[in-house]
Amino acid sequence: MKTLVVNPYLPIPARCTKIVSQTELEKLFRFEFLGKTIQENFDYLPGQFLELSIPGFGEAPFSITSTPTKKEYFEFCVRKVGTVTGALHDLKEGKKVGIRGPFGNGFPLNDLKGRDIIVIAGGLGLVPLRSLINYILDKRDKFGALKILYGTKQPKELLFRDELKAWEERKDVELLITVDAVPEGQEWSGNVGVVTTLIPKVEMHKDYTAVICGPPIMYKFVLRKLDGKLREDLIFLSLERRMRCGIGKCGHCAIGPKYTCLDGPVFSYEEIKNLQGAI
Amino acid sequence: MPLIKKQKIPLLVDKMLKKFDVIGPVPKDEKYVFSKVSRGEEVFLGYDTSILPPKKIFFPQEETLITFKKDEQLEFKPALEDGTPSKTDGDRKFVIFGVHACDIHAILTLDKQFMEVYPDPYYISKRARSLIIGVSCREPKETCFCGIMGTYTVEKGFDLFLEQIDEDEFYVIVGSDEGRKLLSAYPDFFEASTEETLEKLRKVLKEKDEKFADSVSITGLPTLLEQEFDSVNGEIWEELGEKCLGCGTCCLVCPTCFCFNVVDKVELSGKEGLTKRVWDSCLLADFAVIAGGFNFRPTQTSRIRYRIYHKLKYELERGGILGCVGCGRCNIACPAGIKMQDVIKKIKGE
Repeated sequence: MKTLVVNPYLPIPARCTKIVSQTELEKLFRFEFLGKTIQENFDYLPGQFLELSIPGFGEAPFSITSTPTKKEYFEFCVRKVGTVTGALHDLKEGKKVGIRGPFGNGFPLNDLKGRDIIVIAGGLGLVPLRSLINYILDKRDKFGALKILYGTKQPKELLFRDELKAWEERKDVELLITVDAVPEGQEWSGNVGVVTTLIPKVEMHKDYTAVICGPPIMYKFVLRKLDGKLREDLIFLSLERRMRCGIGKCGHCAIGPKYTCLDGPVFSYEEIKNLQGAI
Repeated sequence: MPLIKKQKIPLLVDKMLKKFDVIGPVPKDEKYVFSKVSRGEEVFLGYDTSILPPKKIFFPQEETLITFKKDEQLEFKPALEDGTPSKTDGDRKFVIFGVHACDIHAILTLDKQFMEVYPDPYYISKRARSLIIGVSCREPKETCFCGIMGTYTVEKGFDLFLEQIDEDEFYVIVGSDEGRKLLSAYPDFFEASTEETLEKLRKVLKEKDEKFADSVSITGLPTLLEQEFDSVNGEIWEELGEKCLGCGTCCLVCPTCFCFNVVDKVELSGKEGLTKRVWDSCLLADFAVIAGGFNFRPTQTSRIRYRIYHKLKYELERGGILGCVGCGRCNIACPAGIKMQDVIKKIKGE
C-alpha cells in the first residue's frame, strides 16, 4: 500500500531576489519560490512565520515582514545573532534557501477589521507588525484609526526608515517614534524614553484594539501602562519562542499547555494573563 | 474470549516470525530491552521493566527527516521515496510482543502527539505497520507508580492483551480487528475459555487492584498545581531545582517524552547532507533559549517545574491524556534520586 502523506518537514526551495541592509545588524531579505505557481499560490497572514533552512547550517523560524497583499515575493528582516542568521547574512542575491510554512495563527484580522487600532512595537518587534501595518494600509477602508508607537534602543537601530517616513506623512496614520537613549555621535531630535512613555501621548478610547510585539522584557511594562485603558480580549501580543519544528511536535516553544507555533504566536492578553511563564 | 497456555507462547512467536518481525522484551545485563528476536523463546514475558520504552521503535533517538543538496543544486527530499519516511525494515509489519499496560498508555499519548494536527509521516509510517500485544504485570516494581496514575490496566491501544490468570495460563483480550485476525490466523495456539477461567480472571483483576492501587491518586492534581506554581509550597520547586542535575536522563527513558531537536549534518563532500531529529530534554539549560540568548526558563527550578507540570497538568489540558504513566523509569535513571511519586505525594500533601 502506498500512502501519500503531506510531509510538513519538507522545505521548498526559494531564491533570494533582493537584500537591503537596514542597520549594522539587520538586513531585509526578499525571496521568491522557484516555481512560479508555488509563489502565486503562496498565501499567509500577517503575524505568521516561516521556517527558513540553509542546508548545513540548519533551520530557524522567522516572522514574515512583507504583507500578503504583495503576491510576488515574501520578506524577512533578520538580525545577525547566531548560526542560521549568520549564514543568512552571508547569503548573496540569487542564492537559494529552503522554506516551510506558513505556521502559526497570525494577527486576528477578524478582530481588527472595522476597529481602531494601536500598534506598539519595540525593536525587532516591528518586523511582524510591518506586515500587519502594510496590510492595513493596502486595505485602508476596512480598518479604523491606525496609531503606531515604535521604540528602539538608539536612533541607528530604527528599521524601515523609508516606510516610517511614508507612514508619518500619511494623514490616516499617527506614528510616534522614540529611542531609549541617544549615544554620542548619533543625531536625534525626536522623543527620548522607552516605548511606554509614548502611550500617554496618544488618545485612545476603550474599544481600541492593541497589537504588541517586542523583546520579552517589554510586555509587562506595556501591559501595566495599558491596564484599565483597553479591553483584555482586545490586546494582542505576538510572542517569541524557539519554534524548532513549527508544527507542535518538538516541544521547544511550549508556554504552559500552549504551543506558540500552533496556538500562537499571537495571543490575546485575556488568553495568557494567567498562563504560567508567558510574560 | 480465548486462552493461551504459557508454553505455547514461544511457539506462537516462532510461527509469527514467518510473517512478521517480532520485537519483544529480552534480558540484557540483568535488565531488559525491547529488541528484535529471531526465536520465540527469546521473548521474556516475566520482565519487570525495560531500560527504554517501546517509544524508541516509533520515535527513534535519531531519525533522518530530510536529505538535501546544498547551494546551486539545492534540493530537499524526504528521507523516503513516496513522501513518507524511509522504510528501513521494508514494508513488513512488526509485532511488539509483551508491552505492559503503562507503556500502552504511553503509546496512546504519543499517538495523540504525533498523529494529530500536523500528522507526522515518520511516526505514522512505523506506527501503521505495528501490531501491539500487551502482557499484564503481576507485581509492581518498587520504582513503579502506575497505582497512582491508574495505568496498571488498559482498555485500548493494543491488538491483543495477555492477562496472566495463573502460572501457566493467559486470558486473551482482543483489542482490534487486527487482533481478531491474529487469533484466526493462528487457531492452533489458542483455546476457548471456560466459566472457570473467567472466574480466575475476575479474581486476578481484583487482586491486582489490591496489589497495585495506591492510596494516593492523581485526582485533583491539576487544580493543586494551579495553586502551587508560584508560592504556597513554592519550596517544592526550589528543593527540586537544587537536587536536579539537569542531565535530562529522565526524558530519555520516559515513554511519553516526545521533545526533539533538529540538526543538519553535512557529508564530507560538503555538497550534500541530511536533516535529522534527535531526542531532546526540557531539563537541559538551553532548551528554551531564543535567538540572542534570552532564556525563558533560566533556572533548574523553572525547568524541572515545567517538566513536572507538563507531565501532570499541561498534557491533560491539551489532549485530555496523561503525560505520565507511572512506569518509574525516571526513578530508576535519575542520578540525583528524584522520585516522581514523592513529588506527587508532596504536592498532594500526603
